[in-house]
Amino acid sequence: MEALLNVAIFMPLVASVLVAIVRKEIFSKLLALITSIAGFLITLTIFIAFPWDASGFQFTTKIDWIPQLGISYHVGVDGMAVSLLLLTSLIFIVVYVWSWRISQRPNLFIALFLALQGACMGVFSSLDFFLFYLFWEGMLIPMYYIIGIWGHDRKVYAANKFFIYTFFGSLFLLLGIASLIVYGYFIDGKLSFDYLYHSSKTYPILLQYVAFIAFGIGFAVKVPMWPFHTWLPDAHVEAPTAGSVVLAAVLLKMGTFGFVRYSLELFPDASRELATLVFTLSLISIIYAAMMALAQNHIKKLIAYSSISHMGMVTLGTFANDVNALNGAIFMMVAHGLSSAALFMSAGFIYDRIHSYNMEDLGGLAGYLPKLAVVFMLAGLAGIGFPGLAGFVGEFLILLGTFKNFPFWAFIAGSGIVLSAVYFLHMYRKTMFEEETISDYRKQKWQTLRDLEPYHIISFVAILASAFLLGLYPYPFVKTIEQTSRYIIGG
Amino acid sequence: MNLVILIPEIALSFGALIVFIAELFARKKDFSALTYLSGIFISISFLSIFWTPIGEGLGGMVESNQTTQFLKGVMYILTLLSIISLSEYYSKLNSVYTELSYIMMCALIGLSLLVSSQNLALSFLALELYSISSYVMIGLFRQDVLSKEASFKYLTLGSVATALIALGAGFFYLATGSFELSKLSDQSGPAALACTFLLSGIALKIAAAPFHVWMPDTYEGAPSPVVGFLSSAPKVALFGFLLNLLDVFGSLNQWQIMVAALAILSTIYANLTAYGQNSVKRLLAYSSIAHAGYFLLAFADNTQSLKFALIFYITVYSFATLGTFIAIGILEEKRDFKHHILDYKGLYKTRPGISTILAIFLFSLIGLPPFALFFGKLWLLLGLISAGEFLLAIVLLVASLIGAGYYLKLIVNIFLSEPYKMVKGRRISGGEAIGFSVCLLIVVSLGLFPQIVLSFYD
Repeated sequence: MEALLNVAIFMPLVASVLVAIVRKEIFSKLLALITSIAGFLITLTIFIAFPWDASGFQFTTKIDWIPQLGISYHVGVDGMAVSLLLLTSLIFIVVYVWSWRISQRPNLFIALFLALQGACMGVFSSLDFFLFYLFWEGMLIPMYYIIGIWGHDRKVYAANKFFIYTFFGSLFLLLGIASLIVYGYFIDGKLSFDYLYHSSKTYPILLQYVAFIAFGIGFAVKVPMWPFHTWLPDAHVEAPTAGSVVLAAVLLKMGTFGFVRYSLELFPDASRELATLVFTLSLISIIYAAMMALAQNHIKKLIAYSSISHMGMVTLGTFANDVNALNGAIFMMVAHGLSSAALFMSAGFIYDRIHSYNMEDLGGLAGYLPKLAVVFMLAGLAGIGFPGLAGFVGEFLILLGTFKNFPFWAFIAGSGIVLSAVYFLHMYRKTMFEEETISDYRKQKWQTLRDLEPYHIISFVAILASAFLLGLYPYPFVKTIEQTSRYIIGG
Repeated sequence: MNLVILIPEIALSFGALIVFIAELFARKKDFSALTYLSGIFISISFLSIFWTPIGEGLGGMVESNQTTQFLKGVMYILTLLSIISLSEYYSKLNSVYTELSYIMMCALIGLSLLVSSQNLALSFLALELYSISSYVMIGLFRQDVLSKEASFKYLTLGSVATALIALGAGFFYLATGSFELSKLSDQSGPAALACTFLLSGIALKIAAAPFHVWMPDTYEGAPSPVVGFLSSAPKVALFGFLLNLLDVFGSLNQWQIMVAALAILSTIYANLTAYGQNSVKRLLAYSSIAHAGYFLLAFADNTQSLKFALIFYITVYSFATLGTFIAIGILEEKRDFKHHILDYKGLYKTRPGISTILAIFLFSLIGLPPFALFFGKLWLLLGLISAGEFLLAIVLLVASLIGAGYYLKLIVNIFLSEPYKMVKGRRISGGEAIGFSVCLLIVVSLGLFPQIVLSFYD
């Protein structure tokens, strides 16, 4: 099992190098598909073999790397990490299937995505601050090029904005990490970047505050949380479909993952004391982003704002100091990964066929693209938390847990769910129905539109089936996730 | 008179002499042979470092310890790489000056002495040897106005630095009655003045703001391989000399205030000004000023971890910047190529290999992991925080953030824009290939395994 985890991290990186060297289109695509499927099977094996009731990290590997500075190669998983690894490997299969037809610089495209995949797997499984930071920054360069080369009109602006914002957050993260390392040095006289060493320490409250803020800014940019969110709509609007899918489904989860793994576990006192601050920002994110989503005409921008709003729910649940709420938050990371991926794929498909994201140009598509209408609806329902789909379990658990300790905040957050139904149905109505707003000329042209092709259907089925599975039979997932919640919150 | 300490310098001097004599009989077409001959002598001197014992020589005027040995080794490799990669550049531009090989070796002798010198009089001479050689190298494009202007500017401002250092040495003599650095005990009055003047002079040489004005013009006007050399080996030597001064003056108030002021000014000012530049060479000059500021941060306190951080950071930085200049030198096929940023538009389409190499160096200059400069920055940050210099730690982070944008500007032009002028550049010569491959290897491998440096050091 330990070996498999390492294979899952390094296989995509090795494949990325191979693709960059060989530079044959068919080889790149096949290799990417094979490695991603193998990666999925590996993470699935790890997930099934994961012991729910054992405490702490499982399947750990620890090798000395830079002993003079107390840096080691240390990886391992807990319940949260293993769930996110499973999500990551599933999403990347879908990405490669979805991009099967890509013709603009396919080798570079595949190589960058494979590197990105390795970095994401690494972030979720590293147990060493240095290793974590390495992977965390490692996704920056591939994503920068993905937005910058394959994006839409304002791709350079969006790519630069993405880079600068994320780099800004990372530097705060670096400051936080450095302050912890130096504190450890002063107390024990040795440098150590090891996560387990640091999680066994109790920091003085002042350091907790400083480090909590520094880590918090780093993660808040990635989540993104209001007021650090402005890069996300731009990045999503300009990114190619596959880039948006990975960005929404996996990269945003790094931020919320960081909050749980680092902020909550390392700084428990600061997390309690500053919970009100986080709640305020989360609620602003939930309500403000939902309102912004309502005001959009651009479907991708709408989905991007809905992501911000849903991520607000996750941060709310994370700091509610309750096992159920934390379960819900982690569950929602996975659920939102699935629903947002499906939504962005639908939007990308609409763009492929009609070359517009603007609701003014769209309408009555249900009549021309019936299969899309079905999957789009299902994706949306998964997103707004319809019972029977994954989102419902997550939102329900978050509100359940938050109500116990903070009924007032939970009440306001509940209204965010209502808003999410409003903006999604608004978008659905505008794009799929209301045929009367569309000119006859367009209708004429749309007669010949091709509906979903087999490779689209495979992608959608993989994602939506998982969303149904999580919604109808959440027991094994909640159990696995609870392993993390219990050791973090206790009880 | 323990001359054994000076074996590498003596070997270099003999080498320079032989190349000088050979040059008398050489014709233009022997230029590359001469550069390889100098390369061989530099390699021999490099190897001789391993046989040089540790200790004092010339009655305490020079000292050889692990730090000086390591810094010398780094400088010799840097010079070796610059010298073997430059011949194609000059022959293509039709301006072969066969003197270049031994002038560069003379500069290296000066730098090498500067690092090991424990005596201000010797340091002064060593610094002059390097400076005068560098004036010649910069102005070597005799018909080129920009090159001459660059050389003249550096000459005038460089003489100011000479004057400042001479003045500093004079006050040092007043305070101690000797030029030996170890003799300083009384730290008031003349010693403080000596500290101020010496630091100003060195700041001018390393181009820390506000003493930086010569640098952008010099970088723009000088031939690219010479800029590559100037931005690497001398930096290592000058900061090595500054490390010697740190042991002497480190506890003075003036030192701490000046170092902090120079560092903050250089990092913030240079990183902001770089945004306004349209010439890639000027942009890299400001990047170099900003990095001088980062390195100066390490002198805020005399601690072991800051010293290690500095040595590591400056080593990897020198390789990254040398590699960058070797790479952009390849694009310079004609004399009128001015490295305007628009010339780099869509370079990825015409020269994917060079673009990728350049991108790796630029990303490493931003300070992204897994490249080695990130590790230098992290180490520096850890050192600053553990020395209690929180303000300077914040300065380091803020400046790094500001600095990220202008490297991106260049990366955007190379990768994400459509071609504007088709810049082809010339074929990569063998020397250049070795040059940037070694730099690339060091920047990547030391980022993942920085303990390699420590293992050399121990």
